[in-house]
Amino acid sequence: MRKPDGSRGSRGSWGAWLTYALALPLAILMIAPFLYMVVSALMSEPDSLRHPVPDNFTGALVALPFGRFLLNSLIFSLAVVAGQVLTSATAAYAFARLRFPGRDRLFLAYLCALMAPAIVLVIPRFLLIDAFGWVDSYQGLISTELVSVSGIFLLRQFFRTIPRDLEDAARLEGAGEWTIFWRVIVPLARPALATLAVLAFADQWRSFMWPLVATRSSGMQPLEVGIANLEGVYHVSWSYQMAAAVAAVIPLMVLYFVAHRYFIRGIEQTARV
Amino acid sequence: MASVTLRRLAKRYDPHGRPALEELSLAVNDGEFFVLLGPSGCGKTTALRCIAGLDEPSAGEVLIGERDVTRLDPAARDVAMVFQTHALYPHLTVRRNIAFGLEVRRVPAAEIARRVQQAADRLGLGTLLDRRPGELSGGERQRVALGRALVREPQVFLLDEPLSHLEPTLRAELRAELLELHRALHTTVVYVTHDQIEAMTMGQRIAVLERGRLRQVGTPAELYGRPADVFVARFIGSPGMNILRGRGRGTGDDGGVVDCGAFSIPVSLERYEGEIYLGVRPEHVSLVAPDQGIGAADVRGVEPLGPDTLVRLDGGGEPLVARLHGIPDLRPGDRVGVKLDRRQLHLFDAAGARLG
Repeated sequence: MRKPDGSRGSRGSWGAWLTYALALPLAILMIAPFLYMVVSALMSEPDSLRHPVPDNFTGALVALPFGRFLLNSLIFSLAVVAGQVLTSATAAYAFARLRFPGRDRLFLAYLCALMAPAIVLVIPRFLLIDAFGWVDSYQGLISTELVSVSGIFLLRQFFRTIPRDLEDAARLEGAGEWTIFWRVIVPLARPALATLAVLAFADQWRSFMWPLVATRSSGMQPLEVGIANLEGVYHVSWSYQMAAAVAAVIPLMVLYFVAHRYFIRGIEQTARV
Repeated sequence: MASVTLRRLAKRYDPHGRPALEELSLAVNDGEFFVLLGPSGCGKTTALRCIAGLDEPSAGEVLIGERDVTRLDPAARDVAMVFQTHALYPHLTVRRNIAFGLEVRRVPAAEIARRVQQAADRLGLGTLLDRRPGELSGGERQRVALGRALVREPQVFLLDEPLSHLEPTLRAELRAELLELHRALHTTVVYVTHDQIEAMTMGQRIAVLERGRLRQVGTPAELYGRPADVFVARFIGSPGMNILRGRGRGTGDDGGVVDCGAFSIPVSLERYEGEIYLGVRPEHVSLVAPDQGIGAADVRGVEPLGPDTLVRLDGGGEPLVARLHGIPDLRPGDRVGVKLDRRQLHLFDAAGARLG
């Protein structure tokens, strides 16, 4: 039986308080380094936390070929996003919908690849691009990032939620697999594709280890690697590094604010499976 | 237009499990409105999907007209299907949903526009063409799904429980519309449903399936008046036929008797001795004084329907339903006598098959 509003309300608000009590420390924990980064970027080094110095930004931007780093980051991230969305969507469709022998075992083998720490794969990947003569080039930087197992997994889960009747209807109307994929599945999977694109972009934008290994010249380095180089130029210039880091994180924040509606819907839908 | 023939069609999804369909042979006539009827899991949708080519049969053949289409792709069979879930593409407008099949087949744009408009006019979708499925009511969605099938001008329409998701009033309305459409187009329709009222009101002929097996094919009147077995007798009719289990004795000279619990019922029975099922429709059961008729029973429930009333009875452990005209003055606990219309009794042997 339904209880009077008062008791339901108080129980509801207790639940809400508990949620906030648990979430607040986590939120502070998450945002603290970010705030510290912004604050440090505005402080002069000896008097940190006393005199804000906006000049750090101009200093950092002048000390580094910031524009080049930004361009490299953009090319690297966007190319990888395009590649991962395309390869993940086609592979996920095959794993979710096509019938072929050994399909589920093959998918399991892919999932096992998720278990391998990324760092373990850095050396074979480097040897591979070295063999092609692609070290310190866009091809080298991009090629080994084009397939994402977690992307395939994410989209496969989403594709499995799309009713099979839609495909059957299309098949009866004369559509082949490619037509079904492009005209029915892909348009319906837009939230999931947007989620994957945002995740992949953020991942590549923040990527440090692989670009550090795969590039040598500052003409090829993306932002993350370039910012780390500030250490070499000005010993340990925290203010400059933080200023550059703040500048580097802005595109990510813009992207998230633009795409967050899609992003959240995509996460919700794939999590329901 | 074309006939549809199924020859010993079988389908097994799980090699170790029960077959979904066992040696189904059927002939649907050209232009006929044919219904596949049965409870869920009886294999009716499997049969439809095998006709459509969405499932490949494990054995047997599917013919559309004279053409063996068993191994053909769905698109090559010239059939259109309406799904239980409507299966409209949510990202496309009504217009594009209806046009999808024609676009895929690269029909010229002017011809697509003409056919979409024609289908929309016929189904009253003219004002909805630029909306998306999410903005439509259940009935409108069903009309769009029909439009998508119509516009292709196929030889055979396959309809898989197209009305089951709709509310009862709308269902009755669309039932009439579908029949009108069939009368206008004369296209062969294979219609799947679990709802025997839908089957009886729409089907020119009905095939009753149960657990993958065909039980009976016939017109609504045949299924209702001469059910082939106990399953069909119980399944057709609302409520279904009363089935009393007892012992039958037939002497051969049009005399015989069935003893079941409190009742001793005289019947016409050839030479017979053993377990027997006696069936009688609720409308052929009447109530008399407790000391008259074949025996006495207690009233367990009274369900007035308006023109008729269903009276649920208990005759010494045997449940029995009577359909009486009007609203009789009866209450649970009353004791009444039971009388059966002797000309309307159905007899089934111990295995449930019809006798005579």
